[in-house]
Amino acid sequence: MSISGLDRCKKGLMSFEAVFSLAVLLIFVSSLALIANVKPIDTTVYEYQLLNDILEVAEKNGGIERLSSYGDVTVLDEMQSLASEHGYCLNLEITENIDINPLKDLIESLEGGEFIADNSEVWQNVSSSGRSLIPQDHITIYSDPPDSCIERSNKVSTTRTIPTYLGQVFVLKAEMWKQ
Amino acid sequence: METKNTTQQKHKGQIMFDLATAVVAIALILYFGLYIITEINNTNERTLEEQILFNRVVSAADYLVKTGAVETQQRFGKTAIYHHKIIESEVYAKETELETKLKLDLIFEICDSVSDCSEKDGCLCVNRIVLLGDEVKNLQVCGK
Repeated sequence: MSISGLDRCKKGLMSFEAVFSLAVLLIFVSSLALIANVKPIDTTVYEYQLLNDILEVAEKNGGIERLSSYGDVTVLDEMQSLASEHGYCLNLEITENIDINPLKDLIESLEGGEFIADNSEVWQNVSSSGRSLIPQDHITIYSDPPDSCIERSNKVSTTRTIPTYLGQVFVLKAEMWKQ
Repeated sequence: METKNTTQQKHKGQIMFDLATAVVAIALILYFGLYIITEINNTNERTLEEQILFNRVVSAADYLVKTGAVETQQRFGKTAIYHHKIIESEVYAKETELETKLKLDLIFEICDSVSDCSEKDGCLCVNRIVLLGDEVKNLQVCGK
């Protein structure tokens, strides 16, 4: 083969390599575009409805009344198990203006944990189930989701105001996200 | 003279090989390009169809839970609606009406929990939490 022939051959190989690399790059980019283009179904509206269902059902079957009037915090567990059954994590926060009587009821109904009362009537409890009760000018009950729940950014949340027989007002904040 | 011709033929051959390789590569690029575009289109179409189906099933379930199959009571000449408190017979009675309106094949099931509901092949299902009497139940609405 002459020298010019070798040169041509080299050039040919180089252009082949270039075209081949371009093809591979193009396929790679297109595949990425294809993967990025696959969007899951938007379920936000349904998730709001489901969260609303949990609160609505707890209200209608007397659960919220048990919680607000008798301090029965097992209602929160029931709500969380409902969410978990549907594949969601639920975070609940209930705030009430302080009144020592419902507070006592609430504390009595809590299982486990250690209650500390200091002179300024600040009660504190961190129970084994992860709930904490820190009433200062108000009581706040946190009912955290199970440890298996990983925090996610796309949450749905709602707030409800629940009047009690004692003339107080509970503010129930609920946050829900996919497990 | 003959050697020159052979060299020229060799060069021609190399050029032809080059050209053929380039054509094959271009054809491959075009084929994969078109394939990817078609795939993207198909995926978009499927996602859109699934979203439409999902939205319809969700709206059917919401209708049943909010107004369609719930307990009502006449109070002071007006109708009080107890949403989420469903009547079982009313749920199944609405099936045909909703199927016609939403142009879907619908299956309703009321079960104790999500895991208690039977599996429906090829259906897209949504679950709603409802009350049947005082009992918490799961209303599963599936459509295809």
